[in-house]
This record gives sequence, structure tokens and C-alpha cells, in this order.
Amino acid sequence: MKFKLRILALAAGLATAMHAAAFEPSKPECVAPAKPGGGFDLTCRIVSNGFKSADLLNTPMAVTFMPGGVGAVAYNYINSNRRDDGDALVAFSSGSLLNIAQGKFGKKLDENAARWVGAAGVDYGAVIVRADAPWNTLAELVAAVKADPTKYVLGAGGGVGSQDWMKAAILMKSSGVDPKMMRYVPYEGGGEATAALMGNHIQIYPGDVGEMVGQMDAGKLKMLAVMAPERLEGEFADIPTAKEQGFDAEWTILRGFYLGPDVSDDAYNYWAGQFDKAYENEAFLQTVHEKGLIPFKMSGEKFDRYVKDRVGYMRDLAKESGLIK
Amino acid sequence: MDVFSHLATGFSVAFLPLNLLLVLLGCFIGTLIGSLPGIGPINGVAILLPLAYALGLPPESALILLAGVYYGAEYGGRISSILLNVPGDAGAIMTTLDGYPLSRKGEGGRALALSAISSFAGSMGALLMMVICAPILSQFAVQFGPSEYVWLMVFAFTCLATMVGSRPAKTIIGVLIGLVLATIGIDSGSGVLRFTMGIPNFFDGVDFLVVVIGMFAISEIFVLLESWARNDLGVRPLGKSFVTVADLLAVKWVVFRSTVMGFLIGVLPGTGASIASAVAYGTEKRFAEGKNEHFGEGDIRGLAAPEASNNASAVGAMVPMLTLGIPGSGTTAILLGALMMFNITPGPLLFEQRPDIAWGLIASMFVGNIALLVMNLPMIGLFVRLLSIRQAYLVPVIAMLTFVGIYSIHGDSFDLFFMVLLGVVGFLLRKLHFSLAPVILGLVLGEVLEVNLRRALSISGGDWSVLLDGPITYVMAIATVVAIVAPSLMRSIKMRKLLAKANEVED
Amino acid sequence: MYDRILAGILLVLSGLIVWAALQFDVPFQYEPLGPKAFPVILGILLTIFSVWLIIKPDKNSWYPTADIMKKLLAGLVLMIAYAALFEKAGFILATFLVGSVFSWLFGETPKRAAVFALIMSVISYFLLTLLLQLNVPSGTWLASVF
Repeated sequence: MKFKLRILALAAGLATAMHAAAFEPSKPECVAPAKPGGGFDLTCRIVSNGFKSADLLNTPMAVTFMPGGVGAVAYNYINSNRRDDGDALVAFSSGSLLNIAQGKFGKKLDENAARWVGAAGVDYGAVIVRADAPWNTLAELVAAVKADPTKYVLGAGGGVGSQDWMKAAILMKSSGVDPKMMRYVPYEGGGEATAALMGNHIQIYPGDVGEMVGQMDAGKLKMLAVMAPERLEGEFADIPTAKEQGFDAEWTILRGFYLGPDVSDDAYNYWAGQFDKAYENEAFLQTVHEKGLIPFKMSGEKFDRYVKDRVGYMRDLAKESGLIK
Repeated sequence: MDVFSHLATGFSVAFLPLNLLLVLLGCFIGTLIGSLPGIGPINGVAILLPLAYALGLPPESALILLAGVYYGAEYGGRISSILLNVPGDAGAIMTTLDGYPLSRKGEGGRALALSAISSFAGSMGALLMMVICAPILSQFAVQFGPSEYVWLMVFAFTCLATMVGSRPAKTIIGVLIGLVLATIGIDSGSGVLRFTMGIPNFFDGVDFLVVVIGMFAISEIFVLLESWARNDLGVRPLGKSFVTVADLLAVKWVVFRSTVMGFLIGVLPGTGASIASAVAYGTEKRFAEGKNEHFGEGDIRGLAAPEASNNASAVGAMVPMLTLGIPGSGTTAILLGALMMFNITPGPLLFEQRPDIAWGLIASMFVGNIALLVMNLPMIGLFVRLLSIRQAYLVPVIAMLTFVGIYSIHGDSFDLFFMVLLGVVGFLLRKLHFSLAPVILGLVLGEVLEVNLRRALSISGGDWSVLLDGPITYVMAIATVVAIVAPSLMRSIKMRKLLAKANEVED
Repeated sequence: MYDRILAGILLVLSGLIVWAALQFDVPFQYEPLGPKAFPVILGILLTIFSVWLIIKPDKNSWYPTADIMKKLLAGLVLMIAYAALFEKAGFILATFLVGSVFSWLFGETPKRAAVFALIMSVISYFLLTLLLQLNVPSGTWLASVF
């Protein structure tokens, strides 16, 4: 009996494998839900360039743009017009997931309205202050903020409910300050927030590690902690994590891709397989690094579960901080 | 001098045959793209970016090409503004105000030549300022905080007040409509959806270009339809006019002031060509008051000011990008992305680590601007011929270009319908003697004003005194007060002089 | 008269703006002003100036004849059709149809208008896609036929 089952399973596996080989995108496309040059553009370039240099595509992948609401327009568009289009990968980020968690992509569209397939890479939050700030560790910073939460201004590239705000709120919460007490100023994107920090209009910037590449050497800013589970490699190896310093503040910025909700298993497995191959390919990993990201090797069903878990976690966070009821 | 040796390095890069070719190519494509309504510098740079990458150009060459497209497009935007009353891109809106009336009078050639020279002067002046004081300027840019932005916007609004024509109520309503449009979308502060009516296309706000093209280009098609029905289209006078030395002398200070203003506004992250040209236009109108001023009816000062200013701001926007790694405009954000693709991190260290790139780019901009002028002046005759094309052929082309341009922003038909709706609104407003420029300016300025006012008050915890904090705010507050008071003061002085004269005569 | 109609519409609109702004559901805010203040102020200002316009409207200077209205409506219908067809029928077909009617509306003979629109749509399609690499729709109708 057992033996038979195994053969059946093998046969089924073979069948899907053969099917998977049967799917081949005719016009592979990466939809970047932003204007050219934005973060999603870079995400798409990781697959379009990375897959090309890893020889994973027969036809070159086109990048198309569909800006609007951190991916809301693309999410709605795919769900109404191209539900079963196996050719179109759509880029997303944790910012999109956070909006889905808050129901901002539409009342009926939650995390189950897409098939999450693979990752471009991850980035982590970072606590950044001016180089001449009086604090050298996260503990010193937190002590100062605790003493008078209204004295220092936090600022980052998004409003209440955005990832950047979430990072600030998690940081405050982990240090025992009510997030609602902090002075928080939203900017349009990380660039403006960095400028505001340099100009001393804000004093604390919970930004991203990736955008600080090269900025550290210039000696105008310093990074007090990375909000990663463990220390990073390379340029930022010397910077301790928040956890090491005793604060449970972690924020992973995930950048990845989804397919339409009704895309066939064949197409889904094809793309998941391509991602698996890419994760083992030096040329692809090189592309990921060049775009300031850290490889994140997960694909297919496992990735789908991971993303849905993340959305669940974010939903809890949002409820906890009073963003949604 | 340090600067000269750096510039020499730069020119040695810019004069390499490949780079010379690329700068010419970039400027040419840029002018072309800029002159098409609805397709602006952002499209141009975005189109060529993957191409430059695929061709395997070295980073400095790629940047030279892309930057050429950027300021070339800023240069080309004026052509359809002047000839067709359809702004080629967002920075060219103010150019329609006096450029189009000039071409209606048969002085299209004069307008094109004058604006080409003003643009050239604006770019060159801005480049010189950039070379001499880029490091100081990047400091200035970061010192400019929320309170300073609030004052800049208030100043811009007071300049706008000069556009109040015979009916102030109508101008103000126009501005208010623009301001209301600006509030649509996700509120950047609180994340609340405002007036989106559940349409996800509105989440990021109303796209600026859709409003510009809808209100100007689509409504212009309706205007043409009406004129055709009235049978008063006629043949517009072509004229062989060209710019005269007297014209140039008459605008030399206008161009100088507009260049400085445009450059400084361009340097600030968050304000670009459209705000720069509006402020320059408004200020010059103030200056011209009582001096045989006929702004809005084809005054060459009203043409020179926005053109010098928007080109200067395109150069200014490069300063924070190169020195701080912070984009000063949407297009420089793409240029920044391009640099990252080539593994170059712009920022404070760029000038030290890769002077060939930074100075090569600057030097190539000198070359490119001369090339643009040389390329543009002889082509003016050709451009003016556009006017002799029959409406039966011209209108379908305008319609096609606007639709393609708007569709290419989001790849969604929704924008097309919205654009047509705005075109109808724009047409009706024009028929009721509303000026459309205030609507657009309300849209541009409104967001910057609201966001920064709220930022300033969040920083201070609700204390309004934050608005008068630091030397820049004082200067700007004084400038605003002067802009409000000066014209009436001038008028009363003049009146007194007249009275005095009258008295003398009586004596 | 037209001024008064417009002012009336704006008055209703400004009321709607204020009402909608007061309904914004703000989970919590740090800032003294918040997302409501600005729209409310704008709504109030718009009300004031609309009332002003109602009290002191300009004299009408626009007298569209029936013929003009017909032409304008035709243009409007044409542009709405263009927007509707653009994606579905694809650029070439939509531009050909709309372009030829537009050209005819401006006095070209039907035959020449059609020829012109055909040439324009085909040439510009290739210029826009190949040279400018713009995102020009090729049409979903045609794709389903082939």
C-alpha cells in the first residue's frame, strides 16, 4: 500500500514536472507599480536583468509601469483584468503588504487575492542620526527620548500607517514609549527625510539600510542600529542590531513578486522554479547586491505562506496601534 | 583656482568623441520629446535609461546622454506652448501666457528665438552658479526646512496675486479649484484617503500632467472646434519675425533675475520647473507694473522670465542630486536611479571619488546648451511652419499625442477619461473668462504648502512661532511683505509725483 | 447667467467638500492640523468666493449657436470614444477611426481624411513603440481574434 502511494506520488510529481516544463511565458513582463526610477522599478530590474544574466529567460522581460498607491492600482488592475495571466510578474514590497493588512487596497482585496511567488531580496530598517548627535548607542538615544518624547523629532519617508512610520512606532514601543507620544514628521520618500536629517529639522530617522550605502563614508550621518534579526555583512558589519542592544525592534523590508489569483499551477510552478534556480546563480545574486538588497531565498508555496503570515502579523500590529479596528 | 582645474578635467571627459556625440544626440532627442505635448523629460529619461544600460555605455557617458535629454526636453517644452497654446511639459505652462499671444500676432519666430536665447542664458547662468557654489548650495538646500517652504509658497501665492485680472474672484476660485484637486489622494501625513471616492487611481493623488494636458490641450481642441464652426480660424499670420537686439536688451535684467530665482528654487528638493517659472513670471509682472506692462497679451518679458527660470531650475535640480544624493525633481530622481544602476552612489563623496563623472557631466552641460542654441535657432523657421499645417491634420495629431502621452504615465484608460473630463471643465472655464494657469499653480503649490505647514507645526508641537525661526524665514517674510506692499506704494509715489507735477504746472 | 450656474455648482461642491472632510476617519494624529483642516478651509473660501460670483457675475460673452454646440458635442463624443477604444481596440484602430472623423470634422473630405488618419496611425505607432519605446496598446480585441 505504502509502496503504491509512493509510485502514485511520483507519477503525480512527474506529471506536474512535465507540465511545468510545458509552461513557457510568451511575453514575460514585470509590472512595476510605480513611476520609472522608483523602488519598484529597481525590484523589476532585479528579475529582468538578473534572470537575463542567469540565462533563465528565452525572451527578454519587459518592464511596464503602473504607479498608484504603493501598488494599489496594480493590485486592483491584475484582479480585474489579468487574473490568469501567467506572463506578468508584479512587484510588491512590505509597504504594499502593510496597506493590504489595513484594507487599503480595496475592501474585498486581501492577501488571498494574489499568488505570491518569489523574492527579489530584503532590506532592513536602520536607526540613523546625524554624525554630530550626542548619542552613540541605541540605549543612549532611547534614554534621551524617554526623558522628553516631545523634545526630539522623528521623521521618515511616509505617513501614519506606512512602513516608515511602523518602524518608528516599533522602535518607540520596544523602548517603552507610547508611540502616540512621539513627534513624528512624514516626508515624501527617504531622500527628503535624509535631507531633513542633514538640515537638523528632524533628529532621528528610522530609514533603510540599503539607501545608506555610501552615505556612511561621507561622515555626515551615523547609524546606531540595524533593525535586522542578526548582523549584516559587508559595509554594515560593525553596526549592532537593535536586538543586541536590548530592544525588540525588527523590521524586514521584503521586495518580491506576485502573480494573478487565477494563474494556473503550471505557470506558478514555472516561476517558482525559475526563482529557485536564480537563488543558486552567482550572476543573479550579484544583481541583487548591486541594487542594495540582501538575497532572500524563498519561493513558491513556502513564500506564499510566509507572505500571508507577514500580512497577518502586520494586521495585528495595525490593530494594536489603533490604525484599524 | 581649484574650480578651473576640475573644469579642465571635466572638459577633457566631455570632449571625448563618444561623449560629444551623445550630448548632441541627447539634446536633440530631448528637444523632440519635450516639444511633444504630454511627453516630457521624465518620459525621455525613462525611455533612454534602459537603452543606455543595454548599450553598455560607461557611466559618465550614460549620464551625459540622459542629462542631455533632461535639459533638452526642458528646452523643447516651449515650442508647442508658443505655437499651439499646448504646454509641451509641466514647466512650460507659464510660457503659454505670453508666448501664444505673440505667435497669434504673427510673431512666432520672434517668440521662439527670444525664448531659446532666454533658456540658453538661464541654463548657462545656472551652470556658472553651480560651478562656483555647489557646496554652499547643498548646505542651503538642507537648511531649507518646512517653515522656509511655507514662506516660499506664501511668496509664490502673493506673486500669483498679480495674475488677478479684471475679476479677482475668478482668479481666486481658479486657485481654490487647484488647491482642492491637490488634496485628493492618500494624505501623506495621516495615511487617510481624501476625496478618492473609492477609486484606486486617485490614491496617489491627481496626476499633475493629466490636469495640465486635460485643461490645456484637450480644451484647446474644443476651442479650435468652436472657431472652426464660427469659421474664424482663418489662416494665422506666419510672419518672418525674429528676435532683435532691442528685445534682448529689454529683457536682460528679467532674464538675470529669473535665472537666479529659477536656479535657487530648482536646488530645493521638492520644488521644480513649474514652481520656478510661476514665481519668476509673477515677480517679473510685479517689477514691470507701470512700465508699459501688458503681460498676458504677448509681453516679451512675460515670455523670457519663465523660460530662463525653468531651464535654470533644471540645472539647479542637479545640485542636490550630485552633492547630497537627494533628487531635486522627479526627473533627477530617475537620473539618480540611473547612477545607482551603474553602481555609482551620488552624494558628498562623488566629487572626490569620481570627479570625472561629476565634472564631466557639468562640462557636458556647457557643451549641450551651446549645441541646443545652435540647433534651435536655425530650426525656428521650420517650427513656425507648424502653424501653416491645416487644422484637419493638426488636430488629430494633437489628440493622438495627448492620448499617448497620458496613457503612457500609468498605462490605464482611466486617466484618458479623466483627462477628457478635465478638458471639458477647462473649456467651460475658459469660456467664462477664467484663466487656467491659477488652477495649475494651485495644484502645484497647494500640496507643498499644506504638507510643509503641517510638518512645521508637527515639529513645533502646534506652536506657530516656528514659522519665524531662522534668518531664511525672516528674509522670505520680508520679501513677501514687500511683494504685497510695493506695488501700491509705487503707485502712490507715482501719484504724488504726478500731483506734484500738476501743482507745478498750476503754479 | 453662466457665471451664476457655475457658482451654484461650486457652492454645492464646496458644501460637499466640507461635509466629506469632516467625515474623514482619522485613527489618531500627532499633528495639530491634521488632514481635515486644509480641505475645510478651502471649502469655506470656495463658498465665500462662489457667493461673491453669484452676487456680481460677469455679463455673458459666450453665445454658442446650435451648430457650434453640435460640433463641440461631436468632439466630446469622439474623445470619449477614443478613450474607450484606446486600450481595447488598440492604438492603430482607435487612432485611425477617431483621427479620420476629427479630420473630417475640420473640413477634410471623408476619403482624404481616412487616408490621412491611416497613414498617421500606422507611422506613429511604429515611431512611438520602436523609437520612443512608449507603452502603446496594441489592442485586446485583435489579440483575441488571432
